Amino acid sequence: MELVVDRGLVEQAARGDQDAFSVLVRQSSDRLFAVAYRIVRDHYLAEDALQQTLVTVWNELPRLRDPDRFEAWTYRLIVRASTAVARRERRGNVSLLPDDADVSSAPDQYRVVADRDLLERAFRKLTADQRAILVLDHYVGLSQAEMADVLGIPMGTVGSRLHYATRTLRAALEADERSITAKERLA
Amino acid sequence: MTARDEFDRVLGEWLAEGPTRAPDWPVDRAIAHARTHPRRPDPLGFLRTPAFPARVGAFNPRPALLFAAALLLALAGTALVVGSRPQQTPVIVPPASVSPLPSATPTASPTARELGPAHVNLKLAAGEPASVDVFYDGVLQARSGQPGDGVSAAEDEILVANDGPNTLVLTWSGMPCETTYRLEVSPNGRDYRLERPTCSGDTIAFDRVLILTFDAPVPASQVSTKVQRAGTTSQP
Repeated sequence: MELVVDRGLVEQAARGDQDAFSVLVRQSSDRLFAVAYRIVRDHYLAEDALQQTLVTVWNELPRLRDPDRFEAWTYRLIVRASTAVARRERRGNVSLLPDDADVSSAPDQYRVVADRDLLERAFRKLTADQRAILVLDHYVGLSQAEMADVLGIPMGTVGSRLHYATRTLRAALEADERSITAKERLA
Repeated sequence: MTARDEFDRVLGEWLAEGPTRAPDWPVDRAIAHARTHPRRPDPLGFLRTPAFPARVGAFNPRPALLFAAALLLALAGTALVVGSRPQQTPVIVPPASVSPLPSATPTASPTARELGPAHVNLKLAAGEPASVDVFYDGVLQARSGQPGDGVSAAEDEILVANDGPNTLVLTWSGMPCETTYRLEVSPNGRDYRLERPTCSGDTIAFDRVLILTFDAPVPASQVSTKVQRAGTTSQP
């Protein structure tokens, strides 16, 4: 995890310097929003998660003992806010690609789009915790030790959660592909 | 390239797509929140639970300070016992805003477990007034903590931390429409089952913080929690 946050800014904001806090959150918001969006897969929900996180940063910053841990701490906050939002919205899950969509005969560029839609749909079938760990691993690029630190769980749990998340995602994709193949045969 | 590598590559590329720039309004609102909530001096801040664990090997003065404070208290207590032999044990008086438990004093009846709930009005950052009924007779004091404006706990999760060996701080998130909670504590003080009301409404959740002080040490690491919706059945 590369440290991109100015330690002095964190210390000033922790002491109550609002200007330092403004600079700090503007530096961090893009990074946090990107993570939130990739977990919740919705722009508006990601905005909610980001706002909750930034407010928590202001309220809890004095309790952050080590300013060098700011980045990891904010990853923990955004993951918690995003998974909470994702769990609440799970009942309203939407399907981006209709079940009867025929992507087999589409030109290549459309096939690529369809593959991405399949991936989107499969990803949304994962639990919030599974999405979060895949985002931290494949998007943020944290090591397993860093993920354990950010999520506050043992290394072994990180490994098993990654394993099951990947397996569930692959299974969901394969199920969709089998469904499409079956429709091709019937056609 | 193996199929696994290919899968990882496709997933990584797909995740890399999408927005990387945050909109302004959440940032502006957070800054406005900071301006309307200036930080007050907190002389005891160094004793509070850290928001995030320090790096391994980093010096943390809190345990040493707590140990020193406990040692001083123990010495002072010993001096009192040796010097005057007080006949009465100290009584912990709950704050006026909290309905006290009927009694935490040991009684002659070993079956007197169910003494009725402690009713605690929860302090909230926003939303409707909320309260929790705590069912356990070993609690000396039950009171609300002051939550922040954000959400610390995931849905259906209770964060548990010690604020002293005998005191637990329970934090969970709830929507504004959730106004009545029921917390059942197992006789050994280790298992907690929170029943939350079923409701629908605003999607913005806020923290609820409950502080329980027991008559014996309760390590947070040995506590298990469970959250369930009212009307559902589950074994504790």
